[in-house]
Amino acid sequence: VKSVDKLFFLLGLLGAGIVISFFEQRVEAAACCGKSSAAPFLMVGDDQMQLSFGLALGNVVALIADDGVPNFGSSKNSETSQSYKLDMATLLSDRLQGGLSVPVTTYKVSKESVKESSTGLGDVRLSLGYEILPSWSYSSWKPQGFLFTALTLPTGRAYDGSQRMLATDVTGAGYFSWTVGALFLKKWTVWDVFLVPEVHYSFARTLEDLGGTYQLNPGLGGSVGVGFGISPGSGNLRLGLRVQPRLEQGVQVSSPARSGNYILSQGATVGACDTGIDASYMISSVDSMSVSYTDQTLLGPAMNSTLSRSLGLSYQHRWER
Amino acid sequence: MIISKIRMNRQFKSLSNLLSLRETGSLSSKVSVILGLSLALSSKGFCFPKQIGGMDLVRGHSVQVDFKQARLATVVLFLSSRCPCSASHQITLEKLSKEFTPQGFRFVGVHSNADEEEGIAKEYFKNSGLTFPVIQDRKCGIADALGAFKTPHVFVLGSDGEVLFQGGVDNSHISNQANKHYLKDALALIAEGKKPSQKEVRVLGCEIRR
Repeated sequence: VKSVDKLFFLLGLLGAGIVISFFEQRVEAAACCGKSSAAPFLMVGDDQMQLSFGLALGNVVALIADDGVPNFGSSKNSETSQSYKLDMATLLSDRLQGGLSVPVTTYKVSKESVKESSTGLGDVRLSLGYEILPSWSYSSWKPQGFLFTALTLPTGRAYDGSQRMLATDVTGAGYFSWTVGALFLKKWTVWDVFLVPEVHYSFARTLEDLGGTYQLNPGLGGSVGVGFGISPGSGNLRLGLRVQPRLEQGVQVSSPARSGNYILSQGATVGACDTGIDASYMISSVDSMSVSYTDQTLLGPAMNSTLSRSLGLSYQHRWER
Repeated sequence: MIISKIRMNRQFKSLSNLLSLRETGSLSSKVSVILGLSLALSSKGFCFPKQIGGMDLVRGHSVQVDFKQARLATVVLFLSSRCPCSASHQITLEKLSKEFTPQGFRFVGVHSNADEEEGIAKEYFKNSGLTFPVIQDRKCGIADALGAFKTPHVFVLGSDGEVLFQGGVDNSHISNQANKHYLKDALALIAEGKKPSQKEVRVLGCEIRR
């Protein structure tokens, strides 16, 4: 695990360089925060369609309880993920765009002498974005702004449906989830900044097993992404830094069969914070490559979660208007 | 480059009024001053130039364009010497100039890109085939006064410098792929004595480096 960590760290440093691509390549590092979060794939330029193919390699390096103290665990155990994601966004009208995100994930878990690996479709996301603050003329302060909403479908396998001992076949949260948020961007010469607040609500569902019928109510979650970047010499390279803390309500478990929908467990609030560096390079006016490194062990709040480090690579192609 | 005869518009006057309130010192007036200042500064029409001028990159001599001299309106086109989107619209703009100049419009180009060398720009526009002047705006004074964002970015200005239409020439980066011709439609309506159906549209192209 330590050698893999070192490799990720070195690759992260070497990769020092993405984003606008915070949106183009969001690394899904947090297995903990599977209830869908952060911004959907949005076109922020003057394009009519955009496609992105991304690969993210994640490595769980610590487990953190509600006391906020990370347990970096045994080097005999490892938990890694390899996610492929296809993102698409297309214009529906001059200021309205629709998007689709399809992830496929491979999890590999090694615990003591047991090794297990599975691959499966993750939770598919449909999204809509509206450019509420368009940049139709120059302003030294007015940002470009989008409102977005997204529906995450439980197309991946949830924990309760797992058929593997180490749950490597869990690729989804198991809930329909609705996200609303905003994205604000501003560029000044070679500098840019962005802000992405979002909240999401995951809908309750019923679980039936041998023990009876239960209702799982995951509730609300949210995150705020902030970051900045620089394009040295106004060239084709952009280097960026971003931070995105996120919180999720605990999953409340109740028993509808008992009087008053008896609450069996309130669940524990889950938190993690992505800190990342990114580099993106415009290969041509319509093609770009991105590299990102995300670390959840650097900043808080973190509680009741696994903490990961991950490396993301992506390729984007745009069709201009 | 000259930007002269700047007149205060209504927002500027209201800003002056708000600033005078500051002397009263009340909290509400201070809040009003801040709000007024924000509103006034947010307007790209804070001060309308009534005349622009500078070195004409096409002919190599100084030129001044007074908006009052155009019978109907002045069409100010922000262009670039290296933006493909700007280049793809030059033939269209020259055609529009030929079609609408006799109807009372005056066309003038402006080159405001800080990252494009003046010598290269001069050579480029000299050989561009454009028949209207292209003013060198080295310090982006004209671009800042009008709020020009990208190339090509078009402003159709009335005799007092008021914006009748602003935005893109059409709805495509590549002129011959466009299916909505915003500038042509706006000029046709103004020529008929009507207002453009859209006063502001999206501008596509390369960002003007300031």
